[in-house]
Amino acid sequence: MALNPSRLFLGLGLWVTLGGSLNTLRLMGGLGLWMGAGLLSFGIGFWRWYKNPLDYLGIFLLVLPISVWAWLDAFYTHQGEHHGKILPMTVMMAMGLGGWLARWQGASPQLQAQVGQEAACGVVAATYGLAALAKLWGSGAQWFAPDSLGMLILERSVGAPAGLAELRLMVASHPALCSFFAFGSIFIETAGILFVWAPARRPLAFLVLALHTGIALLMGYVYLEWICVVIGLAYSPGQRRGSG
Amino acid sequence: MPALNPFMAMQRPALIGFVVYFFGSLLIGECFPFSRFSMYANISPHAQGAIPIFLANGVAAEVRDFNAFYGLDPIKFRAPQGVACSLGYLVEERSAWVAQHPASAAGPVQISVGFDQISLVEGEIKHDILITTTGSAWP
Repeated sequence: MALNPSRLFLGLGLWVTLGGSLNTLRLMGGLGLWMGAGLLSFGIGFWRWYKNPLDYLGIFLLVLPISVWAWLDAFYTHQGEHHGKILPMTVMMAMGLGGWLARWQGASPQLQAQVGQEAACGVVAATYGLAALAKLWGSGAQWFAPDSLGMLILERSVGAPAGLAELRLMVASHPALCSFFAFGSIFIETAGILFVWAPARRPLAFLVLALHTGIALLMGYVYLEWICVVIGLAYSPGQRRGSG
Repeated sequence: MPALNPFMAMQRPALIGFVVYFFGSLLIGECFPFSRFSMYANISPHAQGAIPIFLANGVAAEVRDFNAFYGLDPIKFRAPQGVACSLGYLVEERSAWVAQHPASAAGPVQISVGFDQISLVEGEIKHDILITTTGSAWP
């Protein structure tokens, strides 16, 4: 099987998510192990592009324990703790369910994989759209005020490694920069809705990379798995303009 | 799949995925796999921030390093009225852990919980420690 860079990215996203599940294993006992097994099984199935019955076993192993885990996890941690895991998991579910439905309709294995990827792209678009809507709905115009994002960044400068602390303090001290980043985040997240449209995906992947790099540096939330999933989907086979 | 236009036909699953997840999340809220992704979306301009602190014998510590707590009020882990804190997930995680691990007697480690209130004064961070509840813990 030819090695495709997009598979590497998606595979990396899976493994980072698996790492998160190991933390769940520490907190929740055996449930995290089930979750890890489901992810691993799905990852193996996905790698083979839905050509193996193991794909569908993986979906069942994935969906059931993760759903249970998420319910339980919600009692232990704030939503911010498991947001990093939501996108890769919903993407995997969309890929699995989309591929499954296409198979049910008699589609070829290649088409099954493409339908699954498309459904996953829709989930990615919805996720970024929801993030933008939450900010506009929750804060309105106040989101763009320098003292709003500036204080968030300042709070995260305390206790941060020296270089990052200085960077965050510098940004928080410049109101224009704070407003620029607030506007930029809304712009990119809103533009993320265009991920439903194939020609927009590759440019959007770079914007998303910039967004998450900024969030990691200034806010400390490292969503590596999100970056991997978005780049992986944007550069998946079948994503070329008009190729279907 | 319809054979009309392969390119447009392939966009349809993406649109379906978008509609299902977007409106499903708006309708259902925080219930996996749905989410409104509103982590720190509710913010407003303020001149002072607050970082949750957890001190063991006066030194910053991890709440999960202790297995039982005595005398701490989990409700008072939350920021008092007028104190803006965007790190609510830390507060909720710590208060949930303490509430789930009560002790029947005072422990050997003195615990203080509160907030490091910070503000930016001429490019420097000014700290103002606010302790909201105290108690003890068992390792």
